[in-house]
Amino acid sequence: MTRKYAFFPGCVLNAAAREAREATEAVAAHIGLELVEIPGWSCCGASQIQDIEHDTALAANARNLALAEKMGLDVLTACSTCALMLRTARQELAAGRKDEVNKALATADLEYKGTADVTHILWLLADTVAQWGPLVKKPLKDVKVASFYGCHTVRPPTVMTHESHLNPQSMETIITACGATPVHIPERLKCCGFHAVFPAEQTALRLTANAADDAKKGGADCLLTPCPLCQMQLDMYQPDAQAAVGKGGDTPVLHLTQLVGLALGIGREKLGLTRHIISPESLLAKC
Amino acid sequence: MRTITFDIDRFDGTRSWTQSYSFEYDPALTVLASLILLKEKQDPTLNFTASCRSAICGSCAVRVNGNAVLACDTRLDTVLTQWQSDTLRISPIGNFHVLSDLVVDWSEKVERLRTAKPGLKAKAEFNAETGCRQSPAEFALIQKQWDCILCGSCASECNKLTDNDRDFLEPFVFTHANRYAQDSRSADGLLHVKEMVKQGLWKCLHCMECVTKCPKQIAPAADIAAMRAMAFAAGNTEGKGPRHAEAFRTDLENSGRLNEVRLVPRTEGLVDAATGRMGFTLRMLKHGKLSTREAVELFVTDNKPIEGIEGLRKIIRYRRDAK
Amino acid sequence: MSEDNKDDTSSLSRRTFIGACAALPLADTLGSAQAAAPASDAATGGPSGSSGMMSFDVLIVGSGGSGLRAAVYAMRAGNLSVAVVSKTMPTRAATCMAEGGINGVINYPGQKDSLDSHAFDTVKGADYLGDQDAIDYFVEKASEAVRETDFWGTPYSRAKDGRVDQRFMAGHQFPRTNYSADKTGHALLHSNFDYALGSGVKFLLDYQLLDVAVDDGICSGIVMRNLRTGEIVPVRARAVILATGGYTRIFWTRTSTPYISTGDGTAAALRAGLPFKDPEMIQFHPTGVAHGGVLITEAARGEGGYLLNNKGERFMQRYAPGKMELAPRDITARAIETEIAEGRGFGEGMTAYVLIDLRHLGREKIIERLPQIRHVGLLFENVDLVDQPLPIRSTAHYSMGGIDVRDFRTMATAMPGLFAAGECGCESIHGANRLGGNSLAAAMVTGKEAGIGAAAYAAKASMPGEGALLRIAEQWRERFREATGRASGPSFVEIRDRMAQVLWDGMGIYRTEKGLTAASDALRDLQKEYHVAKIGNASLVYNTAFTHYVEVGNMLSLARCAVLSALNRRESRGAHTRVDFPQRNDKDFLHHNLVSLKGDDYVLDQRPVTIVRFKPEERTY
Repeated sequence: MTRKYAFFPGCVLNAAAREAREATEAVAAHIGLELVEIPGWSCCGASQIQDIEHDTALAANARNLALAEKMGLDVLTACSTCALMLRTARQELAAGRKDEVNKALATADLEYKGTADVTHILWLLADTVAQWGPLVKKPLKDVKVASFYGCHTVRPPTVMTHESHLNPQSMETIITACGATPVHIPERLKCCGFHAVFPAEQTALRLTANAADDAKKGGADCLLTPCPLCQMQLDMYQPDAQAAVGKGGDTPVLHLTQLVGLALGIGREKLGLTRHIISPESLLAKC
Repeated sequence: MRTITFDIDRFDGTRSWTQSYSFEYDPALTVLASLILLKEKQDPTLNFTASCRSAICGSCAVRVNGNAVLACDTRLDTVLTQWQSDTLRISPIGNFHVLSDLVVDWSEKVERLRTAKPGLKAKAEFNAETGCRQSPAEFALIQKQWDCILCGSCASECNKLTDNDRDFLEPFVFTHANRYAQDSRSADGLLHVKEMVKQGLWKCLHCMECVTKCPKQIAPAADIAAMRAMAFAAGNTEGKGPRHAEAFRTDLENSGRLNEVRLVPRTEGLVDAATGRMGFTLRMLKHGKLSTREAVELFVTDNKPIEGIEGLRKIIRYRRDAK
Repeated sequence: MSEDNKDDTSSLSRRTFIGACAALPLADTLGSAQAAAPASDAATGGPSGSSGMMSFDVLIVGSGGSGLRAAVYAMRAGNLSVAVVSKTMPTRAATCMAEGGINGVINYPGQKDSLDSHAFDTVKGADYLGDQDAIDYFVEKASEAVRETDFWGTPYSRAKDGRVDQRFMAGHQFPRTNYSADKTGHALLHSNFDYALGSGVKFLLDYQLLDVAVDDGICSGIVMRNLRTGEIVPVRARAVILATGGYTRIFWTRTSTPYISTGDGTAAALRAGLPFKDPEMIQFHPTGVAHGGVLITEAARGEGGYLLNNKGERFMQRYAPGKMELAPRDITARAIETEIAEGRGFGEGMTAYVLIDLRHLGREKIIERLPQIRHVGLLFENVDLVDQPLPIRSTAHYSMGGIDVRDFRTMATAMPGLFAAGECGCESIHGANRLGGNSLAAAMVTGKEAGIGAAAYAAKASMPGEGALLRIAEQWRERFREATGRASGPSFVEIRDRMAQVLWDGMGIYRTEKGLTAASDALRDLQKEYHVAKIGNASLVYNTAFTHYVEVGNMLSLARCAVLSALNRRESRGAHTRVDFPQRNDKDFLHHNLVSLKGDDYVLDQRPVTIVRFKPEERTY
């Protein structure tokens, strides 16, 4: 399958979640997806700028989308908050703010037209299972995977429209295509706490602990998430969560594309699996 | 005959249990009509509250498979299709003290509503004899928030409340505060915002459950955002929440990208970050999340600006001046 | 709040932030009413009697629009203990269902409206059964109420120049219905609730009124049931305001009103010895959905909908060829019933119906202008208005009759210490037919006046004795035990449904001597059955079966009053239509009916209507 996208990596894929970028690019190359990074893309606002200077964030995202439109491509993201911010911006612009924001964009010789759709690597992989499924070389048949969707992947459903927000199945579809067994945990649609880990630290740690513990109790070998922010929260803060709450502490947390990469037989060095805080060794032993 | 089963979470003041009820499918049924049918035809001990049965009084919110819906406004077909099942778990809405079966305690919430300082404190130019003046555009700014029927659905799956409701409020309280904060008739909208800052305004997780669950399509998360903006503009810039947001904004203008290394000290202050986060930072370096060289570089010199940073800065300035 | 989450977002930059938020005095000083918000807890109250009984200076029963207004004003008197008792969370009241607007003459520059015009329209609308002195007072206070509620924060829709916007409603000569989109009642209820919260009003939620106590001829308080614990609680009060709403639920499935509109206060007042005034005067709105009676707003006809019978005819041709579907409510309601009675309807019994057809408006127009009705059609009839016509029929909508209020300035009844406000009271402003927009206005006005009146009375009255309260409380404890202990008996829910059927057939839109007599007999029998009916739940904790059993008992009692009164009003006036007496007869019937309970007997009396300026004329539009 060949498809070309304007790639919007988002800030964390370039830094603390670099392994997600590596895995995304490796999987894309393997299954025939061409990802062309948007030149000069900026931070999406991460729901933080949106809260204190809404119009600045809206304009920045209008610029991001205009840059993609110039490439004549739809946008692909690998971060759920980026996807939510960009898609929300599209809706706001379509609801009457386009002309006004374009006046600002004009000062940088840009114009937003509204032609570029924004999609998430999760949705793309789920929709194209028939194409890349046959490419799976190492079905992960002994592996049990608990999916953790992440709030912004499914909510609000008026923006994240791809599937049911109450009972999404895209991750389970992908996990199954990888040969692994999906494990249902009660926390699968809950919050990881990332966006308020500073002002509401105890809450975020408890949420982290609950998810990790749930996965373990459910017999899962790892948590899997399509959002690098969830991955960072659940992985990087798991030791702190263990210390604070007494739960979790050894549940590996994988990025979606890392699992797919493993199943496709892509070399582990290309999937950034050495950059995890909670070691995925026990999981990798089963792959 | 198609049989529908409701597994209802019961509570009689002492004992909790789940009870199964079955009834014949009827496409005309709503969730509330089904509950009434069960109560009147099968079990008079089943308790729930309902009043208007037309989605304006907010009495009848319940959880279907753990997710709040307004029972009178939800067709049985809708939930059967959503969950792909003829058996549904019915429970009282979350984050409320349960009195009996599906009946929850609103007295506590009434007291929490008082913290928003409800009731208009109008500008000095208005009085009870003349009333107020307000333009249609100004009315439009608050119209949506006044659609709130106090059904509690927004609070039911709120991830922050579920973890800890002692330092946060129900989303509907934030909406109630914001509609006075944004009301052009208010003498001082900040009066309400100030209270909400004290009550955990900056602790919202952005989980979007409130936006998703509101049967009136109100977005309490947007009300929280609006009050954060008002608070910030009025000088509420200290504290982790505001500083965290400010860090993103400054980074956007400086280089177009987030500087993750500087983010922590900027949010928490250098001393706190250095002492409190030492273990965390060492872990990051040890596991190869960040190299020491990279970390130092990012801390000292910031990200390389994006291609087109000047254009982005022009855009931002244009929007600021337009305000 | 406790800081489980250690962070410093609550520390504000003192200099800038706090300076910007200088506390503002409320422009209307609430004085001592600005006390710290008390907990909504049963155990607290004013000074208690020797037995530790809960006591208040002013006790308000009912938390809808009028109850909330009363509470705020009672508190403004200062130095009085005030509480609102409610069987539900306040915002569940019928007030929230009102859509059209609140009447009040504002008379902006260039307008020609006047209090006199509003008064005349109301008098005529009432078919001359309204007391004109009460109406004169009402229209003046209504004008004030609109401006005051705006000042309190009600979100009114606005005209371009910033004033509260107004619309025309049927029966008015000028547009004087101030509105908030299509949810004026909801806006008023919530803004009054907010204002009451901000004023420190104390709420006692989940308490059902059982009886009003009378000690030595004066009201001594109420006996109520704590729904959460089942405890029967007597409460002493110097003044009691009943603000419990209407009784239209006597028609159960053929009413637009909420499940809670069961006339509890009106029935309690009746048992306490007060007359029930004009009980037969119940307004029927022409269009409610066939299953359950939820309102389909007049706008459906306003936008061009057709009313069709089973022959596909636009039958209004027969009744109002000029106005067709836009004829006044009572004419349209009667037309629908006639079509059904003469076999040109669909279905049968309580769920018989005619159709409203909006298909010719087209998908876009329906979605844009009538989304709420489309939603209602899908919910209640499983019908999409875009593709199919909707089954509708008339539905009981408002209670003009109510507790006999004797002083229209204070809402005092004949019993010292007992006041009535809102739909449960009858002053009478609405007479035999209420005009659109007058019920929200009456709620705001009578609520405020009752609050002021009751507070003034309480400030001078002594705390009454406990004897009657203790006795009544004990009677109810025994009643609960006995009733919930019945192992067998007829289902009280079925009794309720039969009551509704009997009333719909015998005291509906069209009434006859024969039908009313049959209804009267049937109700007497139903009441007997009621006293041995099985409840099916003996729990003390939140026993909604018993709560509803009490409500059904109240409705049976009120229904008997209404039928008696309807039987004896041998004329047609306003909402009361006698097929056997189709004309209005001022000579013999220009009076209020008053039904009182003497022992077990329902006794009828009359009182003349107060005429001031407007001599009764023929009522045509």
